[in-house]
Amino acid sequence: MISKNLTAASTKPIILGILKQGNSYGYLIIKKIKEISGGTMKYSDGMLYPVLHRLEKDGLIQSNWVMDNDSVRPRKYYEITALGKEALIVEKEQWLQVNTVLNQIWEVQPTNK
Amino acid sequence: MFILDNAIKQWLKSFSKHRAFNHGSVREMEMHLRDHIEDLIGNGNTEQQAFEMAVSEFGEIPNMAEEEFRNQKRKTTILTIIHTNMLNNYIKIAVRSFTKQPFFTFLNTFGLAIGMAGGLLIALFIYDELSFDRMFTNSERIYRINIDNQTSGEFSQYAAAPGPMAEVIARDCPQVELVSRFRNVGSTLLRKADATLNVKESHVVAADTAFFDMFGLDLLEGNAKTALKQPNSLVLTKTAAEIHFGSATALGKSLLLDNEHTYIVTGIIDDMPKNSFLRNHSVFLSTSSYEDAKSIKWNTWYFPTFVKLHPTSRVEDLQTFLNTVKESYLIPWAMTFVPGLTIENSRAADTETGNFMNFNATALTDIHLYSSDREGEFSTNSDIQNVYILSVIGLFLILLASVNFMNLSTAHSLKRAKEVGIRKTLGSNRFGLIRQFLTESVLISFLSLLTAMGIAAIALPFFNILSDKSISIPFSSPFFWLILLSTALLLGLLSGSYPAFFMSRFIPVKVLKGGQSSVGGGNIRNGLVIFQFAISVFLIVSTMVVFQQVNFIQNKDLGFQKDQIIVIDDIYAAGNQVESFKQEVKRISQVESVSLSSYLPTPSRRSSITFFAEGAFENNATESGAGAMIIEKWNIDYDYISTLELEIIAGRDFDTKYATDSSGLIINESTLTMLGVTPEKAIGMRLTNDIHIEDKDDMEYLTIIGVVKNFHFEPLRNSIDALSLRLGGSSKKMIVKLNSGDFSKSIDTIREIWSTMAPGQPFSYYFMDDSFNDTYQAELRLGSIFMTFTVLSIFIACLGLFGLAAFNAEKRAKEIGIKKVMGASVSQITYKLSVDFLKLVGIGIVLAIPLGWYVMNKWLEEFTYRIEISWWVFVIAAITAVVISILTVSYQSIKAAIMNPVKSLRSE
Repeated sequence: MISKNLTAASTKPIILGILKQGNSYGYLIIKKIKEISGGTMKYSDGMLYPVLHRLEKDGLIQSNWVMDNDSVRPRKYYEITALGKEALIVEKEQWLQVNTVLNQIWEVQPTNK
Repeated sequence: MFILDNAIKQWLKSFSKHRAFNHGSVREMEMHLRDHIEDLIGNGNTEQQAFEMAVSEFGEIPNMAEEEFRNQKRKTTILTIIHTNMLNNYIKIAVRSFTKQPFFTFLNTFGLAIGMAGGLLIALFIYDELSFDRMFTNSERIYRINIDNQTSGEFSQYAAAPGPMAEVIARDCPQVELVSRFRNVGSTLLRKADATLNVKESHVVAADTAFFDMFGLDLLEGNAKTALKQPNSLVLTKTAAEIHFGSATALGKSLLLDNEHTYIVTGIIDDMPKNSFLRNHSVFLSTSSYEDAKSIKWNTWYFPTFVKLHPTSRVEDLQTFLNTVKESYLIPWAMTFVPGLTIENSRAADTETGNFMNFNATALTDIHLYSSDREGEFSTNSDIQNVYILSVIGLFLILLASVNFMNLSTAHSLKRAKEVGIRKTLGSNRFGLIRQFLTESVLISFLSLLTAMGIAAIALPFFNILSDKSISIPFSSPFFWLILLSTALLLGLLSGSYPAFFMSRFIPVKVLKGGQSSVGGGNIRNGLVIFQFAISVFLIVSTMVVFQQVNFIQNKDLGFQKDQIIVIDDIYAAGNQVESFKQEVKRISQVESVSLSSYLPTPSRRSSITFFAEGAFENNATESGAGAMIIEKWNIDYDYISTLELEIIAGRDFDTKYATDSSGLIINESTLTMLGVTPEKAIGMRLTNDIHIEDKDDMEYLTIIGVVKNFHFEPLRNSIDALSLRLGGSSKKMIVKLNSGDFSKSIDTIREIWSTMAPGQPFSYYFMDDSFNDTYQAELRLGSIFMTFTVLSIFIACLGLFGLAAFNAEKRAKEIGIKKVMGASVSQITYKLSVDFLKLVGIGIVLAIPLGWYVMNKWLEEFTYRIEISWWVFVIAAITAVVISILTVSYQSIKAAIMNPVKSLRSE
C-alpha cells in the first residue's frame, strides 16, 4: 500500500495523465486509478473532487456537464487544457528526475560497499 | 425498510452543512455515488450494502470540505474570473444562438448599431464644439474684454473694447501679463503690385506685435517679434500666400490693398485652426497702419482686446480693475470736451436714466459657446444650448437602441427558457447563466460597434455638411478607442443586464414542464415601448416646431423688399466710375431700380453713432450724458428707400430737388420711441453728433425730414434697433432690383458693363433673399439635425416594435390557431394583435405631448418674433406615430392571422 502523502503528491500528474488519454468524469477517474495501480493506491473517493476543482480553478482542466447517450444521468466530464498539458510535461520531468535520482542511488549503492 | 433514494438524500444533506460545496459540486458527488452503487449492485450486492460500501469508500465529508475550502481561499486570478476556456465556451454557445436566430440577431445588432452610429457622430460633434480655442497656449488664462452698454433703453453688447483700453490695462492692471489688441477691418481687395486682378479676402483684421505671443503662434517664415511692428506690413496664412503668390515665396513681396495702400508681407503663418475663433482669418495687418490705433478717444469701440493673466491671478481681480475704468479713464477723457461734466453728475444721470456702460471679460475658451450675441465677433459662434440639445438627442438614441435590445432579448427569452432549464439541471448556477447572457450581449454590442463605425464613416461627409463642420474620426487616437471600446462594453453589459438577470431566474421545473407560456416581465417591456414612443413623438413635435419657426421667419413681412434683388459687392473697386456704372445698369430694360450703399437689411456693414437732440446742450443735459442716444447710422442714396420699398409714414424720402437734404435725416419708428415724439412732431427736429467740437455754436445739425416704418434689418431673434438714414458716404455695395424674367441674362449684362468699367476687378454678386436665409442657417441646421435624428430614433423604435410584434404573434400562435378554428376572421385577429401595441403607443403619445410643449416653448422664447405652437402639431405627431406603429405591427399581425391553424396546433 502506498503511503497517504505519496499518494497525495502524485494525484496531480495522475489525474492530468488520465485526462490526457481522454475526457473522463470523477467516478471513472477513480476507477481507472484503482485499476492501474492494482489497488495499491487507495484514496477515499471524495478526496478526488477537491483536487479536480483545484486543477480546474488553476485552468489546467475544464469541465462540462454531458448527458451520455447510454446513461440515465448527466456527468461532469473533465478535459485537459493546453495549460494542463504543459503542466503535465513539467510534472513528468520532475517525477522522472526523482526517479533517476532514486535509481542512481539504489544502483550505485552496492559498488560503494 | 431501506429506501436508496432517501438514504442518498440524507447523505447529500451532510454536504449542504458545509458551505464549501456549491450546487454543482454536490450534484457531481451524487452522480458519483449513484454510479458506484449501480456498479456494486451489479456485482451482486443489495442496495443497502452497496450504499454503505460506496459511502465508506467515499470518505469523510469534513476532510473534503476543508480541502475544498482551501481551494476557494486560494488567490483568485483574473484568469479565473474570466476563465479563458469558459469564455471560449460562452462565445461558442453565443455564436450558436446567433446563427440559430439570424433575424433576431440582425434586429438587435442593427438597431444598436444605428443608435451607436448616431451617438458616435453626435459625440464627435460635441467634442469638436467643446474643443474650441483650447489649442492656444495657456488658453485658460486668456480673456477678451467686452462692453455692455445701455443707452436710452437700448441694450447692446460688444465683443470689442475702446482703443485706449489695451494701453490702460497694460500699464495699470498688475494681474495682466500680456495684452494684445486687434482692429476690425472687414473684407478687403488684395492684389500683387504688378497684377491687375484683385482677389477678395473676406476676413481681414489688424493685429499688434503681441498677437503671436498671446496665442502661442509661430511664424513659418519671418520674425514674430517684428512682423507686425511697422505700419503697412502684413502677415498671411499659408493658404492666403498660395492664393496670392502661388508657389513663389511671398515674404518681402508687396501687396496692394483696396487698390490704394501698399503693404509688405513680413511673415507667413500656418492656417488658423478650424476650431478657433480665428478660423476664417487669413490676413493680419499691422495695427500701426491705422491712424486711429494711436487715438486716445474712448468712443472707438472696434478694438477687440485680449489679455493674458499671470498664472496666479484671478479673473475676479481683472473684473475689479475693469469696474474702475469708466470713472478713472473714460469720464476724465470726456470731461476735456464736455463742459461741466463731473464723475458725480454722470453717476447721478446713470441712476436717473438707467443708462450704463460696463466692461467685462469673457474667457477665450467660452467665446464659442457662451458669447453668441455680441457685436463684432470674429466668427459666428455657436451656443452651449445646441450642445445640450444634441447631447440629449444622442443619449436618447443610445437609450432607445439599448431599450430595443432589452425588449427583444427578454421577449425572446421564452424561446430559450428550455435551454435555461436544462443548463440549470445540468448544474449551471445562476451566475454562470448571467455570465453566458452577458457574454452574448457584449458580443452583440461589439458587433454593433463594428457596424456603427462603418455607418458613421459613410455618414460622416453628409453629417459634416449638415453641421457645417470638418470632423474626422480620430482612428489614430488611443484615447478614442479606449472610450469607444469601454462604451461598447458598458452598453453591452447595460443592455444585457436586465435580460440576463431576468432569464437566469427561470425555475427549471416550471420551464421544462413546458407550462411556461408567458415569460413575465411584460410590464417592464411595455414600459420600455412607451418610453421609446414618447421620445419619438417628442422628437417629431420638436422637429415640426423648429421648421415652422424657421418658415415663419423666412416668410414674415420684414418691411422691406428682398426678392428679385441682387447685391453687387465691392463696387468701390470701380473707383470713380461707380456713379456711371450705376447709370449704365439703370439703363438695362430688366432693371427696375438701382441704389448704392454699404448698408443692407441683410448682414452687411453696421455703424452706430451718438446723437443728441437739439437743445440738449442748452439745459446742460449733456453734462450728465442724459440726452445721448446711440442710433445706427446708414449712408444711403436717393434710390435706396424706393428700391427696398421701405414705407414712409411721415415726411418724405430724400429728393434731388432739395439741396438741403444733404443734411437731412430719415429715422425709423424705434428712433421715434427714443425721442419720445409722434411721427409728425419728429419732422423738422434737429439732431447732432458733433459733440467734440469746442465751439458749440459751430455744431452741425441734421434735420429729420422723414420717418420710415420699422423694418427688420437684424435677425428676427433681435428686436428692431433705432436707425437713421443719411445721404452720402462711400458705397461698397450696389443693390439692383430686377423685373421678373430671366435673371441670368440681366446678370450677364451687368457683368459685361462691370468688366468694361472696372477691368480686372472681381465681379461678385448674390441674391438678397439668399443672404437673408443665410442668417437663419443656425436654425435651419438645427432643424435638419433634429429631423435626421428623429427619423433615426423612429426607425429604431420601429425595429423594436417589429421584433416585439413578431415575438408576440409567435407566442400566441396556438391561441390564434384555436380562435381561427372557432371561427374568428383574419381582420378580428389582426385587430386583436395590433390593438395591444397601439395602447402602448397611445400612452407614449400622451406622455410626450406636455413635454414637447414645454421644451419647445422654452426654445421659442429666444426669439423676439415667434410662432405659437398650434394644437395640430401634436395631432400630426400623434397620427404619425400611430400610423408608423400600425404599419410596423400589422405586418406581423396579418402574417400570424392568415397562418393555417393546423400548423400551429399540430406542433408539440
